Parts: sequence; structure tokens; C-alpha cells
Amino acid sequence: MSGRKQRAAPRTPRSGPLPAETLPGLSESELRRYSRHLLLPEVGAEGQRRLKHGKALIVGAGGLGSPSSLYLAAAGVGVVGLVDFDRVAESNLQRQVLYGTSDVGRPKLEAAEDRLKDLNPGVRVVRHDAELTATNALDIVAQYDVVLDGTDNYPARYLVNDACVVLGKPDVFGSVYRFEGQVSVFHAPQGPCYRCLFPEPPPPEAAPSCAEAGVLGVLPGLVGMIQATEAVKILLGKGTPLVGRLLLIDSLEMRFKELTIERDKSCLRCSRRHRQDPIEVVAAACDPADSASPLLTEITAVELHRELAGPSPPLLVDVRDPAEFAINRLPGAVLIPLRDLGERSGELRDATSVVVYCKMGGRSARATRLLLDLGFRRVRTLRGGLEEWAERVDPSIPRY
Amino acid sequence: MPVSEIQVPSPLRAVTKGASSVKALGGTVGLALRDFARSDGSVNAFLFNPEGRLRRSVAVFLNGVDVRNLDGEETVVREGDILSIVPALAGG
Ligand SMILES: [Zn+2]
Repeated sequence: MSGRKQRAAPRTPRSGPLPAETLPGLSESELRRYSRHLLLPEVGAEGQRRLKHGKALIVGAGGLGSPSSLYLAAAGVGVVGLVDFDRVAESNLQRQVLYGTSDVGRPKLEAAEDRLKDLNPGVRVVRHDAELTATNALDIVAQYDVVLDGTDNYPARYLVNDACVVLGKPDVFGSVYRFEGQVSVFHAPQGPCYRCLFPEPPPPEAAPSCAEAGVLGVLPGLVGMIQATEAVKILLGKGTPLVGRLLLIDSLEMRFKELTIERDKSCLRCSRRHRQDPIEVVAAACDPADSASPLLTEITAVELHRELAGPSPPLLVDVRDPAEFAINRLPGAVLIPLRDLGERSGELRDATSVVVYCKMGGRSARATRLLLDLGFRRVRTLRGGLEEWAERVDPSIPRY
Repeated sequence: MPVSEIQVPSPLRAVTKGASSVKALGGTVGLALRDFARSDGSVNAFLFNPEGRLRRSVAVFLNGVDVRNLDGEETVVREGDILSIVPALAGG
């Protein structure tokens, strides 16, 4: 992700709802297609024309972006923009219902456009085949009325928030982890922004979510559809948006809880003083490159490969979950899941040196920090985890 | 000493053996959270920074109100109060 800064663009003046006479009309086929909307007094022909005139940006065409893009296209939102640069992987299909098995290996946005155009040829799909960066975020976000955050990492979430605050756009936020979801609409200055709630991302040793964490496949569907609902309401100008409220979803207990969240008057992004500050990228909790905090010693996959073949190979400790260990592992590695590491650290006392690894380097950074805190000295974390090992040393190990 | 209920977010449920809430002892938000953190070192690292302050990536609500809008960690906790730990989650 680019660390370059960009000058804040001038804020778009906030305008009320467009007068009905400036909205596009509906064709006969559109009247048929949207008849169930037209029957709702809250939507009606005028509301449908507002949707047709509306432009929604979905950042991340993954688990959250799949249902939200499908429903926004089906609802007749005029322009659906998508930001993503990934290709469809088999492991996506468990939750990313925008794609089919035949799409595996295709660029996501290419497959997404085909699917959305098939669902509704009247919708214009705009592809932003790029990673959102501090350099391009304002230019992209400025083209839309509402933004849906369907990203999967902290830097992107802070970027989406910051660009939305600078431009005065609503940020329809959704995130998931395992069985838990969070949804809100951040729309400063009417309500709090993401930074009012979480001023900083967690450091690697306290980061609860990496791309490597599991998630119940249905959950992003649920959360993404709530995001789509909020986006449609915002474009219609109807109902009560989820501004100033954080909806927590516990799918395992099936409990929904709503918490009131307030603006932080001294927020470093949305307070009057800081609203036009240039946007920049926050450190990535799960970005392998970020594990280079001075207290942690890293080892690269290539160096580890060399040491394992040498006279005094380090003890390998795999801190992932048993289910992941069952899929792939480094030869000779000992499995000690991160949550058990504190209790079982005694098992490492006799090792001359230890290398800790996980899938991408986030959990192993936490584990290394924990072991250093417990007094171990010759502990290193494998930079980039097994992903890096597969890239640089052994492409034959199973990936997940 | 008052007993409060702490609602545990997914990332910490490995520590509570899957339980969505635990009981904690302590007369303030900070004391109750530290009582919970004593159960496992990873809870402590998750909630508190190396200076021992509540991390800015975690929000804590007392009976639905963000404790930053009350007295923070010093906020008084009464018997039966509910503390919700809400961490920044990034998955998508
Ligand atoms: Zn703010």
C-alpha cells in the first residue's frame, strides 16, 4: 500500500435531495423490473429514479462486497463501482457468492462485472482494478454518493473512513471475524467516524483479524446485506440510517446488539481542526512487512530454509490452529496454538533457538512478542509466514 | 466487591472456552477488565498497551455507554453491570 500523502481535495458541498425533475426517467421495462419497489410508498417511481441516479462504491469485492454488489445492482442503483485487484480463489467460494466455480483464477472485477451485468444490464459497473491507496482514494471516492467498506484489512478501512470524512460521504461500514459482525454508518460530521470509535488500529500482537482468520461463510452475507440496505436507504433519503449506532452481530448465539457511539470532539480525523488533513496510510496489523517492529527479530523464508539444512537447525513452532496445521506445515514443526503458548512455553526451554510461524506472520509476531516477554531470547518470527515460504521456497505445499 | 458481567468478543473466546460472557470482580471498569485479563496473558495484551492503558483499538461500553464518555477506566462499576468489549475487527 502506498505511503504517499495526498493533499485533501476541496470538500463537496453537502446538497439536499435532488429535485425530482432532474432525476432520470424510467423505461417500460424498468417499470416492470422494479414493480415491487414501485408499490412501496417509501420508494415509488421517484425513489426508483433516485436509485437510478445513485452511485455506490464498494471497496473490496469479497465476502461483504459480494452480497452488497448483487443487491445494489438488483435494486437498480445506477452506478456500482468496485475496487479490488485480486483474482477469484477456490477458498473464496465458501462466502463470496458473486463468483462461481468457473470464475476461479479470473480477475474478480472481470467476473463481478459479468455477473452484475447479467443480473441487471441497466446498471453501469465501474471497475477500479487497483488497491485503494492514500494517492488514489480521494479521486475514486469523490465519484460516488455512498461508499460501502467491504475491505479485509485495517489500513484500507482507515483509508476508506478518512477519504469519506474529507469528502463528506457516508461510509457504510461492515466487518466480520469468525462468527461476529459489526455494522455502522460513519458519516461525519452528522455522526461519528471510524476513528472516533477506534482511534488506532491494533498493533500486530493484539490484532484480532487477519485474512488468515476463519469466518462462517454466511456471516459476511448477513453483514453485507445490511450494508446494502443502508446504502439503498441513503440513496433514497428514507428511514433512519445506522449513524451513531454500532450494530453487533453474534451469529453463534444469534444475538443482535446495538450500541450508541458518539463523535469524539478531538478526533484526529473528523474534528473541525483535522477534517481537511491530508490522508495517509496507517500501519498494517497483519501486513507481513509491518512485523519489523524493532523488538521482534524476523527470519526470511530463504534464510530459514538455509538454517534448517545447516548444523544447528532452529526448533520450528507452528502457532496456528490444529485445523490449519492439518492442511500444511513445515517438516518437524511442533504445533502450539497461539492461545496455548503461554501455558506450554516450558516445552521450548531446551531449544537453542526457536522460529515461530503462522500463515502470514501476524500471529507469529504476537507469539514472538509473548515469548520475548516470557524471557526467551533466541526467538524469531518467520516473515510472511507459510505464504512467503510457498512463494520463495516450496510452492508445492498446500495453500488455503 | 461488585460482580459485573463482561461480554467477550470473538477474538477472546478461545480464552473463555467459547463462553460469550464471564463474571468479573472489581469496583471500576479498569479493575473489572484487569480481573478478566488475569485469566490469560493474551487477554492482557489484547486489551492493554505496554504502558498498561486500555488500547485505542478497543472500545469498552458500560451498560451500552462508551466508557470514554464516562470516566474511562475509573468509571464505577456496580453489581450486575454489563461491560461490552468491542475490538476493531477488519475481516471482510
Ligand atoms: Zn472521528
